[in-house]
Amino acid sequence: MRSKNFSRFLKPSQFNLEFVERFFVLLLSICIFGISFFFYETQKRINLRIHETLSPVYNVFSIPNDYLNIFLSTFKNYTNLKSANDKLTQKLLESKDNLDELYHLKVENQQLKNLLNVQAPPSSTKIVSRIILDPSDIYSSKIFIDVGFDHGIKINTPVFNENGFLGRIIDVSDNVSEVLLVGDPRSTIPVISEISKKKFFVEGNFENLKIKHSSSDESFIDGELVISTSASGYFKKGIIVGKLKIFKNKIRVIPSAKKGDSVYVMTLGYDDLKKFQKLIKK
Amino acid sequence: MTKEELKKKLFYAMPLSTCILFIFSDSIPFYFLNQYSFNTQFGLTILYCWICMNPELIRPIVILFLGLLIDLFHNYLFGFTTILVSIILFIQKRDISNLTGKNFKITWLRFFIFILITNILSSIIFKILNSNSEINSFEFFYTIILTIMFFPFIFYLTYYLNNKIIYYAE
Repeated sequence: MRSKNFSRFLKPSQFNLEFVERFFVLLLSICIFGISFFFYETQKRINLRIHETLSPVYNVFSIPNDYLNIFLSTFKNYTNLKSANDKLTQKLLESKDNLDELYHLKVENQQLKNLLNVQAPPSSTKIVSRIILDPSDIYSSKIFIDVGFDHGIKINTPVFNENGFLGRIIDVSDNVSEVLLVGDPRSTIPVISEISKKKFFVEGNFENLKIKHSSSDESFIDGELVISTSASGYFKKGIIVGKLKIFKNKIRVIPSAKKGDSVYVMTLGYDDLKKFQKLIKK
Repeated sequence: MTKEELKKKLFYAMPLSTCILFIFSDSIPFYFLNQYSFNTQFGLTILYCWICMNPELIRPIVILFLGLLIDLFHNYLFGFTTILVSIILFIQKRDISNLTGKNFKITWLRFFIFILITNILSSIIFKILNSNSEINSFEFFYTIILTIMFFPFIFYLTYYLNNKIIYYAE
């Protein structure tokens, strides 16, 4: 069977020019393959050289591919337009929230910075707090702050904002304290005028402070500072309460701080004061 | 030269020109939606299709040239593709129905066997020559599957062009 096949292989009809060419090509390709196999590094170098020469042709062939890629990207963008829009809207809202928070923090930071510059006698403790409630009405002027007994707050501790003295603590719970503002009619503070050196008391009158227990009003100087004294021993001396203002026939003290100046306040603790005994109603 | 003669010459040049075009198209890196790239084997596929369709159309010496081009673009060893295609040519010359069955599915299956053997052999040779390199099995199967998927289209193209050539030859 094998000899028969071999004889067919050598038949003139099979052994034509086309067959010779085929056979020659196969033989040649085997030779080339063998050479490439044993001279692989040389083949790689030849490959590289040919690629370098053909690079302009590759660029021409890649043009349709580039357009195809652009088309596919455009199509993808178009199909994902709605989801992309939703994502961007969501991102925009988040950014807006972040920006609002940033502005808020910026304002807060500035207010707290201002609070550090408050003019007051040196204290043993400084506690920064926030006004949480303002129940002031036509009868009273008071606020509540978010620090209390747990934070070391005591009765009569002076409270400041960035502009100066605001009031004093009149009631303390564990985490909240009530501040009687200097403008409240119940507030009475012993003071001394800075230049004329007259001692008297100031009583709250909402927008300004009335002068009480003063021997005469003549020696007061318009614009001089009014500073607290430790007349009773319960209150720290040297705190600037306000400024004297002489009207046509009245003398008033304008408080240096108002509750609306800032939501942040600072309580300053002084150890050398007498302990205030809270009155127990019988 | 009349229009018909021009058409005739154009169709006669089709086997060589389409092969060169498809081989060069293999050099383009295809990025599907900028995420995946795949190595096409259009050049080899169309050469196989032409041999299946009509082995008389491409001369063996031209096959040598085209095979070397394919080797160049796929970083195969020179002569590798020519040996395989020459064997295919021998098989097909012996009997035209060896690679093309009456049912297209058979033709497709035979092409699958051919492309699988080609890729396995090329991977083995690559591994022998670069023992430190790793073969990406995912890309290996991915390329084979894509080549097989494109085969019907290329086969149909060669079938159409071959009919035109036969028409003009007659």
